[in-house]
Amino acid sequence: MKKVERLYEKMLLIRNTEREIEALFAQGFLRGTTHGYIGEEAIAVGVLAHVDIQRDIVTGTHRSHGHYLAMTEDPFSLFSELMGLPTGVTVGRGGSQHLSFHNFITNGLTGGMVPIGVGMALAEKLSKSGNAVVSFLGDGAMNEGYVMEAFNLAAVFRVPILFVLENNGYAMSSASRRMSAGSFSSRVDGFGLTYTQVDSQDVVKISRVAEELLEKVRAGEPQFLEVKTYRFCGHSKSDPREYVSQEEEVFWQGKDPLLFLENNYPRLDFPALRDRVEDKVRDASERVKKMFREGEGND
Amino acid sequence: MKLSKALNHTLAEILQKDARAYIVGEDIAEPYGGAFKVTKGLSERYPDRLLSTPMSEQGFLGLAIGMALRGYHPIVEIMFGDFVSLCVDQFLNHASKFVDVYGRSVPLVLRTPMGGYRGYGATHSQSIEKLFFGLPNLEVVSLSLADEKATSLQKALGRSVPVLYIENKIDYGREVFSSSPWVSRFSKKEILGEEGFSHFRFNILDQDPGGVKTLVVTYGGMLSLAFEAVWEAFLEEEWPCEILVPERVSPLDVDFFKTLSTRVSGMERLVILEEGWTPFGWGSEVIAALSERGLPKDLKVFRVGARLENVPAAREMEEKVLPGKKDVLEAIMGKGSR
Repeated sequence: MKKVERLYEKMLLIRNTEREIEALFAQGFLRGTTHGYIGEEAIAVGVLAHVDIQRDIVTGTHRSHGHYLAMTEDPFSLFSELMGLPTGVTVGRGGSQHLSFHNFITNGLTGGMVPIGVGMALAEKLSKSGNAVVSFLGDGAMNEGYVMEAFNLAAVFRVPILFVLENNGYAMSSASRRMSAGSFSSRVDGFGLTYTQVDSQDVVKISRVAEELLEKVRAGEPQFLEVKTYRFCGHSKSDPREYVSQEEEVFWQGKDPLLFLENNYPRLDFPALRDRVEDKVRDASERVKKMFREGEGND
Repeated sequence: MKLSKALNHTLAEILQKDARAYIVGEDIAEPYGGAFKVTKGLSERYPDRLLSTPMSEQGFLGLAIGMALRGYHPIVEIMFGDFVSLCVDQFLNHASKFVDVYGRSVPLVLRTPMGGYRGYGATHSQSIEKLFFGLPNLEVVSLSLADEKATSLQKALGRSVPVLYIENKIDYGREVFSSSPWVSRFSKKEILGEEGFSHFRFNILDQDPGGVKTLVVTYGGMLSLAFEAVWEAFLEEEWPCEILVPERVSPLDVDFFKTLSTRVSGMERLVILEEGWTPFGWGSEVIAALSERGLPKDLKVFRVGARLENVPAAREMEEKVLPGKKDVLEAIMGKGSR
């Protein structure tokens, strides 16, 4: 029960942090852009529960706030980064899309980190470290050439990597079903990689599957996990989601990963968890706004 | 010794001394030994250290970047320089970014042969290193016959940034300077700069460098052409030139540029020779950088490079597009430019 509580807490932290980032934009504290992870929280939290970022390696995407928060639970360094403050995770150089700490690296090119993840996995194989690489990608990246090259290389060199496809159904505004021929599972099969799908927003289930797959990865066998998900926010901050139907939205709202736990674990003290997370996000936000204002005062 | 052999020895030495060095590329292992045989025999001596890859240039460059991020020292071979177009995204949008956005070390060298004059046609004859000039945290280093033991390769791998390392196809079969016919005609002086790279000055033997009126600046495979043209200018026109060749071409090596600025004063003409297309090329940058410091008042400047056409396969047509001895000679003698 304690475990489920932690999973919920991390998911809610991501949700509330992303909502706060939207608010900070609206209040004029942020410039640039951001790609929210609202709705997809179960994947980062479920998979990364089994990763030790001091040893293991994680490559992210342009949409990686969730991955970062699942590992650090530190909204302050993320807010700071987005505000360009020296307390940011990459001291303000990177911004929303370019995060890095320990063995975690993201970048702003769709799919570009996937071949690099394969190379890092090859390095771990050569070093016989027993460490695993987790490489996140979206359904849009499944149509990038070098991602296909990376799958082939992972299979040819048999490297310890878990590819995690966060299929939220859209590459920006383009529906995946209209843009991707065949099926992702048959593409992955075609490379001789083992394909596993989770068609659920149940973080407990995702976590269990990821744990099993990572065990195989650490034994030297590359693995591929697709999780069907949905984002309840725009592709980026400037996207009003005009391509989404009301019906579709309602369907996925019913599958909200937070709601799922609330309905299935009624004995958890959700109000207390909510209070704790809200306090944490508010405190971080207040601190960073204060620093921001003081910085302006100095200009 | 032929330049490809020197390079092969250097690669072997790197693998011998540095357990973290790996060679990554297509068809590099025995029995093939690389499209230009530069890695010949290495897979027999270091079987675990050559990673033969499928034909996926952007994929395996990304793979090598990942290795570099994890403390390895990959040397990537891209079979033809023309194919580096496939690598731009991984080089520019990934490897380069990790250096200063994240403060990470990326010790990676991408070796590739540029250049034409072999009738390979439009997609196997280009010199397109300029795609990588002037980009942050990406260096471009070129091998020439002056670097007789290909030590610039070791220097390149010692950088903590990704380096594009340019070789030239027709140089592979040429003798390095000291075993070439040019050694009896030119003196060579190597100047090791503070940034770790050398540059070379060549003067006609027994000629006073003080009497030189034309400076020829070039790099890589064009050094042979510079020797030919400069020698002919001396023989036919009694016009002595000096040749200046840097190892690192981008960013401009500080000490090379110092020598260049010093030597250009008192010259009547400056000729910048490169094999790639002239417009927006290396020569343009060299001249701009010199101009900012103030060019000598009467200096005439000439850029010699390829005409802005795709490189044809047929010999006579290819010779018209790529720079030739006549073009360099005309520039040296102050007639026209291309």
